[in-house]
Amino acid sequence: MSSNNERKEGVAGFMQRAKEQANRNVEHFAEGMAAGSMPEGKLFDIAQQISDKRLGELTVDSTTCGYCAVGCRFDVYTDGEEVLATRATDPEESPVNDISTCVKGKFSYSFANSEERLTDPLVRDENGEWREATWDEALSRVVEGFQDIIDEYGNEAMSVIASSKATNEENYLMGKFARQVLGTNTVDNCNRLCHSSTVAGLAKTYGYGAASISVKDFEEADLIFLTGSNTTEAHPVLGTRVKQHVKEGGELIVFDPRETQIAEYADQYTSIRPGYDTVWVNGVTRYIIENDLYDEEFVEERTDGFEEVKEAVSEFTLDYVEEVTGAPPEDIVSAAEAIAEADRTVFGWTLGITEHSHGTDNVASLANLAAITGNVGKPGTGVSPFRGQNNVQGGGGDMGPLPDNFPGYQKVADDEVRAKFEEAWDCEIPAERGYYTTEMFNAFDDGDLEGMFCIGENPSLSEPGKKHADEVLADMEFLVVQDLFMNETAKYADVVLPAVSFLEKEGTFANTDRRVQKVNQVLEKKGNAKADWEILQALANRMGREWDYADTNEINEEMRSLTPIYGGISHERVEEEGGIQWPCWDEDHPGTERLYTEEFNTENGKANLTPVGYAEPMSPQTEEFPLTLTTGRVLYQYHTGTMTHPEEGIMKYNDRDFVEINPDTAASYGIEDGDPVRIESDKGEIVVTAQVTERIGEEAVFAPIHFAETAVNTLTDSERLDPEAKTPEFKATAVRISPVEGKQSTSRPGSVEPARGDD
Amino acid sequence: MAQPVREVPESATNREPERPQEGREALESVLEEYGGDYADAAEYTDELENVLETAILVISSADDEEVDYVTDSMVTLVKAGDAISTEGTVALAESFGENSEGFADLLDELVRLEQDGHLTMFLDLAGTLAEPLDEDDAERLANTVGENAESLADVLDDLMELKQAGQLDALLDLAATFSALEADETTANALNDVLGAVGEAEEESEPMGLFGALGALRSSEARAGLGYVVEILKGLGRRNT
Repeated sequence: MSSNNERKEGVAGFMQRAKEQANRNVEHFAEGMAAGSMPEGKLFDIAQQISDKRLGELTVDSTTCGYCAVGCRFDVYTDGEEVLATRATDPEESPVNDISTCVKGKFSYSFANSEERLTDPLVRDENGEWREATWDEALSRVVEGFQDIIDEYGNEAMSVIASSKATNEENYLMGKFARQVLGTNTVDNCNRLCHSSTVAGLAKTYGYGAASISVKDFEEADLIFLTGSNTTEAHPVLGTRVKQHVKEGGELIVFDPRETQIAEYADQYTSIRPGYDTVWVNGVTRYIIENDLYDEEFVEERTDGFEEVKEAVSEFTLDYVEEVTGAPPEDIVSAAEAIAEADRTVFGWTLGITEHSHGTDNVASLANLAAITGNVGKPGTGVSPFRGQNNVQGGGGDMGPLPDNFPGYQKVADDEVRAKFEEAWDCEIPAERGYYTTEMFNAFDDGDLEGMFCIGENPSLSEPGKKHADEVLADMEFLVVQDLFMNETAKYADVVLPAVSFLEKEGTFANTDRRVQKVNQVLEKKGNAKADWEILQALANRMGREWDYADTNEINEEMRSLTPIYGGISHERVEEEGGIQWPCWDEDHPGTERLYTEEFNTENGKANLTPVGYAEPMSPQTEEFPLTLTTGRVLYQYHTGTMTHPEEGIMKYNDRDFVEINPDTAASYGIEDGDPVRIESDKGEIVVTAQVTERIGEEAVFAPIHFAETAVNTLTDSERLDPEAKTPEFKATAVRISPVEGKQSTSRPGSVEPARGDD
Repeated sequence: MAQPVREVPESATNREPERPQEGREALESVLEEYGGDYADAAEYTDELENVLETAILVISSADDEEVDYVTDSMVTLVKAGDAISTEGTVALAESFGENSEGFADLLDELVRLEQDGHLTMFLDLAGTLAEPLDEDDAERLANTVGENAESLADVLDDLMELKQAGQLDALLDLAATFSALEADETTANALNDVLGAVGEAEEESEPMGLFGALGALRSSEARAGLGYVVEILKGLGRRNT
């Protein structure tokens, strides 16, 4: 009842009063009835029947979460229009999350019915303003725009950003659309901004760019070694698993520039300077080798390149490591000994390792460490990069909307593979790889790209160097955005096509441990919005192709026929058996719980250990910019906020960005908790609220990534990229801070609570 | 190459179009939205058309009080059906448990009216005439609604009794809530099940009937003891949901 709400006027006020009166009358009426004669036992029976009846009116369907990539499964209770409740699916059908869900997966679904959801296509009118259009008109404009670019500049001037929020089937089509319909290999996705260096580092060492383990290996491990992962906030349900491991007596070691909540559970937490991860990892590896603590048998039988690694790490002495990273020698020793003593260690990391100008090296150094200690391929051992977007593993990687890969990590450069896809898709495919996302934005500057089809991605806020990204978006010859909302990127578009969320469609996602799980439609599509695959099909057919998919199952069938690692992962099996982990070669293959049990996915079956040396940020601290900014997520928000900002409850917990500053650092600048603080880099400046806390080291500051008003990527740089994976250096930018005089607002309008990054 | 523009036409978003909230404009816009419903209803009765005409006349020269009155009777009751949340529905369904007598019949009529698409019309009629209703009016109206005449007459008879017992508002609200249930056969069956369950419970006790129950409401002792039971019911309902 709304009796505590503000009183409304006029018709609305009458309605409000009528509603209250009606409810009161009905309840009193019921009381009167019940009081008259009903025995209490019968009241319970009746209540039971009433609740059964009410549940009978609701739809309850299981699906896979669309927030992070942990891959939680839950039942969604809906009336077809609105998510009324979610509850973890029967544990047998939710192998990853068991009975858990996090605050976002549990509650944050207002976005689906947000008033800002786009229900119809938008085109520009003669004054450049947005005008509602029919699908027919909008698609015609898109086709005309794409065709103009191709005619004038060639196929290679087009680019596609695919969406890791979308299903596997849709991502397969995004890659196919780029190559078959637009004729370009320039298709990429948000993996470039997060774990592409993981994919590169693991693929070259072990063979597959993915986690080697299953979630249950966390239970079987003796030691979990975490770095660069704010697990409880970014992957809350995995965080619960790690905490459970500790509670049951397992060991936990955390290396991180921030003493995150998960670090509070650790047996050892070591604070490190951001940006020098190869140094301390090599320090641990060196100590293990020097002291003969490595697994000689495993190294001998299952790896190549040990001597080169031994040689490369020899310079990383304890003193040197301390000097560069701030990690005390005793911490390196105790970490090395703990790994050596534990029978089973799982190495977990997130973007603190990957989002660097040497992320691939960071990952390779961890892969070396895991291999020389024999911690790969056995129960309770392995490597686990926690992926970010719900389907960045499947859609962003496995499905091959990538400049250099086809689905299943089959190489574009491989003539045989390319010929297979050319035949299947009836088109010619260039042998040269296309541009990575981060390269695309620089290629527009150089005039190499002219048009973009951006699906379910918000590069205005998520690309490094916001100012640069905005300039590129504004200058594009032709930009089509396909999204749920008029987001920061869409406002630059020529045409906006309204898409639907994961709640409104069917398909599969693959989670962080390679598990392909079913996504079911639980809500009606909003207005005239369409699923990505439907839009792509309509466009392809207008551009002379004959796509004829009746549903995502038919797309899955085609994809599987071309993608060996997904060969046996049919919708039917996923539905019946629950999640199936790739590689799953055929209908009879059970899927692969753990990779590399017998051999690595390399030519000779051995891990290719790669020597890794010293690496530092491309933006090291200077006198002018004496601090290092690192960025990330907070528990209550998600990425650029399109899904979480519509949620009132969540916004009450966290409604703005902030900056974490160590108390000593804050004092030296005269900054107090809650003060507005200016952060400046060589790229720009933002003003956010100070959060003075000892969780961050003295030389570092941390700011979240969630709000356009204070977009932290104003400070980062579009050209500081990992040389192999082209991942941007989000985790280490040299900055200076200063208190802001006067009353400069750092909050969103209507904000009510002080910002906090954690509970 | 396009200049950044964020403003989107409202019709291309999920926003409800904004309606004026006050006075004549508010009524006109609501009539615009729901006009079709009234036109359909008007086919059944000249009287209703007259009522509508009267309403429109009132609107055209309305002061605030009159606008409120017309709003109450002609518009809001229709809308209230949508506006009432499901909070009331459990309580409503519970209440059905007690009415093996007259209330069950009333319920049947309501279900039938709803199935025939006439409940809204009924609400309009009853709501509009809530104040000046007398037996002649009721009969005259009932006689002019074609195939529903007999049942509507019964309903209106009940209505009259309720009005005399001072409980018309309660019934109107109940009916509006019921329309929010979008009753169909499944719902009706489910409710019959509930009634059946209650019937068993009632075998050995003196049935109170609708009016007895309403009378019981006046007993302060009954009210005092009941809050507890209702809270248990609500709690159980929530847990099972």
